[in-house]
Amino acid sequence: MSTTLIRVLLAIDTATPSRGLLEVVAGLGLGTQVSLQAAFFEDQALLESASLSCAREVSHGELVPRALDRQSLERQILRRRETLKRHFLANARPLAREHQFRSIRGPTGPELLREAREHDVLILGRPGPLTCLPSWMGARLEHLLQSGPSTIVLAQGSWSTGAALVAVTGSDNIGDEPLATASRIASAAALPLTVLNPGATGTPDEAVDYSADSPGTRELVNQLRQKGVRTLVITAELAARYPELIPTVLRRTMSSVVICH
Amino acid sequence: MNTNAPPRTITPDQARRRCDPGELDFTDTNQARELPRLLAQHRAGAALEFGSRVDGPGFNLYVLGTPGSLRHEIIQQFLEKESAGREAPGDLCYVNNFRDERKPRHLLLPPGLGPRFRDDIAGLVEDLQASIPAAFESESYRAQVEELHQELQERHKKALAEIGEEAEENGLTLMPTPNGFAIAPVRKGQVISEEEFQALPEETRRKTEQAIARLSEKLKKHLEGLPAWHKERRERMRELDKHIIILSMGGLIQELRERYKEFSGIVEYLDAMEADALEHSQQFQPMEGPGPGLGLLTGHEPQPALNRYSVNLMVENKPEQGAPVVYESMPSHQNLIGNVEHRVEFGNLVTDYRLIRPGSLHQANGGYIIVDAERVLTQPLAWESLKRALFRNCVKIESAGALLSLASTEGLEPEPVPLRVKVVMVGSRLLYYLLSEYDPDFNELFKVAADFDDQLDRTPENTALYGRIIASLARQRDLKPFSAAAVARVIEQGARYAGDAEKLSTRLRGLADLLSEADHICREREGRQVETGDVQQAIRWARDRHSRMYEQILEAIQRNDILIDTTGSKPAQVNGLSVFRLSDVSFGLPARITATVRLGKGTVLDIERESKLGGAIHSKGVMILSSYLGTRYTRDWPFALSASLVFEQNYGGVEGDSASAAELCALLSAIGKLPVRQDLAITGSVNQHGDIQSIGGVNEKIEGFFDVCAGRGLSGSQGVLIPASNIKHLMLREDVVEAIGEGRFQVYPVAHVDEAASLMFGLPAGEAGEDGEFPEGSLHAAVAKNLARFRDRAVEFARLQNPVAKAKDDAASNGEDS
Repeated sequence: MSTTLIRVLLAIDTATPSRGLLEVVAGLGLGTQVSLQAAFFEDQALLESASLSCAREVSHGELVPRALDRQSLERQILRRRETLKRHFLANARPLAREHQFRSIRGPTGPELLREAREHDVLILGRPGPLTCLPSWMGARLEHLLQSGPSTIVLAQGSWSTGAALVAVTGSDNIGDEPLATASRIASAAALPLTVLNPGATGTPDEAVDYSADSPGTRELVNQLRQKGVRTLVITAELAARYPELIPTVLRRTMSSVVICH
Repeated sequence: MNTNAPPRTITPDQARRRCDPGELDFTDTNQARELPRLLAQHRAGAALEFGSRVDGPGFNLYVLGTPGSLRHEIIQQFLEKESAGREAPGDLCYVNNFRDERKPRHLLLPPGLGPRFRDDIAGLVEDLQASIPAAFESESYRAQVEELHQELQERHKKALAEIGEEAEENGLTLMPTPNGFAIAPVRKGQVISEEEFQALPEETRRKTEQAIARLSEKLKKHLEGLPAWHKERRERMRELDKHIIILSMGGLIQELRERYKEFSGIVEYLDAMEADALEHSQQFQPMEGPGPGLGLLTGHEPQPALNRYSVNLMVENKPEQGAPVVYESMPSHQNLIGNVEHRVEFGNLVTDYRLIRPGSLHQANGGYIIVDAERVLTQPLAWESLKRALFRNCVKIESAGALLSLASTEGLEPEPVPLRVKVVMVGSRLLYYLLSEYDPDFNELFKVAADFDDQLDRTPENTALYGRIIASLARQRDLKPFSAAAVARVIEQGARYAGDAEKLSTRLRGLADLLSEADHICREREGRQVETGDVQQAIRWARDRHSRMYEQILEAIQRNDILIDTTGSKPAQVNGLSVFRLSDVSFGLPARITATVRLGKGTVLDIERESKLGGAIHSKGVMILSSYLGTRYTRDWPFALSASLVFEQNYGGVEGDSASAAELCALLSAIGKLPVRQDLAITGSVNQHGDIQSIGGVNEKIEGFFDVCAGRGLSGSQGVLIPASNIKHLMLREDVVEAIGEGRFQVYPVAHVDEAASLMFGLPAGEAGEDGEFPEGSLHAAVAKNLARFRDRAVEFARLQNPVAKAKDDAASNGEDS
C-alpha cells in the first residue's frame, strides 16, 4: 500500500464563502491519503486598487458605489481570512491526514502558479452561489495547464448537487486518469457517469468537434444543460487544444470542470 | 291511668319481631324473581324517573340519602336501563385549526363514525408520508428545482460576465471583494497604480472614470435586482411545491371527500387540510434528520409536518349502546372538563391539539354523569367548572392555572363542545340543604331532588320486596344461594339496622356485607346454601370484631373498677343507660346516676353541665326535672332544696335526655330517702308531667345491661325499664330474647314516672286525694313529706336571718302567752 500522500491545494480568495468550502475536496473522492493545504490569497491587485482614487466598490449591503478604502478593505480581508480558517480547521480533519491553512499576499497569478506546481490537485474557484469570473485570482488557465498539477478543479456552484457527470476525452486513446478521476467523483457523489469521446469509435460518441466557436462546443454546452451536468471531466490535452472550451462551459453552464493530465 | 299497678314485662315476641320465611315468595335466593331495579324507594324512584326524562335547563338531579344505601349502584343501574333505549350520542373529535392553531376545532360525528374517520385520516397521512417526500425526492422534482436554481445562477453570472466584458473593453477589471465587487483600471492584466493613473492624459482619465461610474451603476442595478430574482425564484419554487403536493394528495383527499360528502364538517376539514398543505408546502420537504442519537432523544417522528392532520378522537360511541352513563369517581376540575397535556421537548413543555384529553363531561355528553357532591365541592375549581359548563351548555377546556391567572404562557383554547348532559349528583342531605341555602346557582341547576329514604315500612309487601332485594344483592355478588330462613334472618337484621321492629333499613351496604360474610362462612363449612346459622354467625362475628372496647368496659364493671350494682337496693343511686357510638358500631352500657339534696333555693345542679361534660339537651332534661318536682310537690309553697345530679365515673361527655327518667328516680330517692332497686336499669326521657318518652338506642341499652347482669349471673329479677313507646323499636339479640322468654331477664315498658316508681322503689306511686295529700306509704307521700320538712327548715332559717321579723314573731308569741 503506497504511503505517498496526494497533495491537494485549495485555493481560496477574499470572496470565497466558508459554506461549501470543503465539499469540493470531499466530492473528489480522494480518500484519506491526502495532504490538504488551504491557501488564502490576499490579492495584491485588489489591495492596490484600494489606493486608486478612481476605483469603485459596490457592496451587497449598501448598493452604492463608493471609493475603496484600504484600511476598511484590510479589516474585511482579515475577518474573512479568520472565518475561512476557523471553518477549514474545524472541518478538514476527516478529509485529510494532514491539513494546513496559509495566507499568501502578493500578485495572485504568479503566487498561484508557484503554489500549484507543488501540488497534485489544484482546486480553484468559489463553491456556492457566487459565479466564477473569467479571471480567477488573476491566474491564466493556459499557464496552469502548462505547468500546473495533474488535476485542476475549476469549481462553481454547489458541488454536491447535480444529475450527471460527463467525462470528455480527446482521442481514441482515452487514458486511465480522466476515467479514473471521473469514476471516483461519480462514485463519491453517487452520480451517473457519461463518457463522451469525440472522434473515437466504439465508445459513446455524441460530440465531434470542440473548437471554440464550432457547433460542437455549443452542442456540448446544450447537452450539459439538458442533462443537468454539474461536473465535467476533461483531458488537459483537449482543454489545451481548445482554449475557449472551458471558459465557455463555465460561462454558460453551472458545471464545474475537472481537468486531468 | 292506673299508675299504681306494676307494669308487666314484655313477651319474647315483643322483644324481637320475627320474620316468617313464609312471607317471602321464594325458597332460596336462586328462585327469587329478579328485581327490575334495586329500588324500593317510591319517592326517590319517581323523582329519578322524572328527573332523568324531563328536558329543560337545570333539570339535573340531586340524590339525597345516607351513605351505605347503595345509591350509586341503584342509580347506575337505573340510569343504564333508562339510557339503553335512548339514542346514542355522536363521536367527538378534535382537529387542527389551520387558521389559528391555538384554537383547535371539534367535529361532532354520528356514533361510530369517529374511529373510521380517524383511521381514514391516519391512512391518508400514512400515504402522504410516503408519497409527498417521494415526490419531493423524485428526479423530476429535483431537476425542476435545479433548473430554477440554475436559471437564477445563470442570470446572475451572465449579468456579471457582461459587466466584466464591458469592463475589459474599457481597460478595467471587475474584482470580487469580501463585500461585493470592485472596478479598477488595468494595464496588461495588472491594476495600475495611482501614479500611473494620474500620468494618463486627462481625457483618458475622464473616460476611465466615466466608464467606472457607468459600470458601477450597472453593477448596482444588478445587485439591486438580485432580491427580486430570489423572490421570483422562491415563488416559482412554491408553485412547484404546490403542484407536487396537489399531484400527491389531491386524489387521496378527493376520495375521502366523496366518502364523507354527507358530513359537511369533514368536507370542510378536508378542504382546509388541502389548503394548508399547499400553503405550507415547504414543510413536506425531506428533512435533514437530527441523527440517530438525537432522533431517539427527541422522539421525532418521521414526518412531523403530516402529524398536524391527524385526528384526535376524544369520545367514541357505538350506535347500539344507547346514551352513556358515566360515574366520575374523582370529579376534579380536569377530570370533569378535560385538559390539555404537554410533552417535554428539550426541556420545554409543548403541546398541540393531539394532546387534548376528554373529561367525563365529554364522555357523558348526550347521556348521564354521576358525581359525588362532597368530592365535587372539595376539589378545587370543580364545582365552579361544573356549574359553568351547565350554565353555558358547553364544555370549554380551560387549565386551572389559566382560571386562577397563575399561568401566562400561551396555551391551547380548544373550541367549546356543546353540552347536553344530565348530571346526577349524589350527596348528603346536609349538603343539599346547605347548597340550597347558600349557593344561588344550585337551585337553578339541580331542580330535581331524589330523596332516598333510610327506612322502609315493614309491611308484608315490603318484606317480600326486601327479600328480593337481598336475593338480587346475593346474585349480583355471585354468592351462594340463601335459604328463605336465612333471608328472613337477614331481614330481621335489616330491622335491627333500622333500630325499629316496624321498619327495614335501606342502608344496603351493611346488608350486602352481611351477605358476603355469611356466604364466606357457608363456604368454609362447604355448605350448599347459606342458612340461618351462617347469617347468625356472621352477625356475631361482625359484632365481635368491633367489641374490643365494649368488652373492656364490661370487664371493668365486673371487676368493680366501674361501680355498677345489679343486686339489692340503695338510696339516691340509679342505673341509667347510655349508648356509645364508635365508627359504625354502637353499644349500650349502664351508668350509675346519683343524686344528693340539701336545703336550698329550688335548683337542681347538673354536675355534668357544670363540669362542661354535659350537653345542652342533657341540661334541658335536668331542668325539666326541676319543673316536674316543683309542679308535682310544691305547687303552693317554695321548693326549698338544692339537688345535685351526677353520672358517676363518667369522664367523657353526656348528651341527650334519655337518662332523665333515671335522674328523676335518683332525685326522688334522695328526697324521699327511699332505696332504689339496683337490679333494674331505666332509660327514657321525662316531660314536665312525668310522662316517659321514647328514646334512641333502646336495643343496645337493654343488651348492655343484660350483658353486665349476665356476666354476674342472671337472677331473674334483673331487667330494664324502657319507655312504652319504644316497644315497637325492639329487635333484641337472640340471647336476650331467650332470657326474656325464660323469665331470666325482664324488660318493662313504662309510660309514666309513677309506673316506674312502683318498680324502682317497690312502692306504689300514690295518687293525691282531694285534699292534695298523697296516701301514706306511697312514694309521693314520702317525697312530699321531706320536701315539706325542707320548706319548714327554710322558713325557720329565713326567720333567724331576719332580726326584725324574729322580734315581731317573738313579741307575738309573748302576747299570746300573756
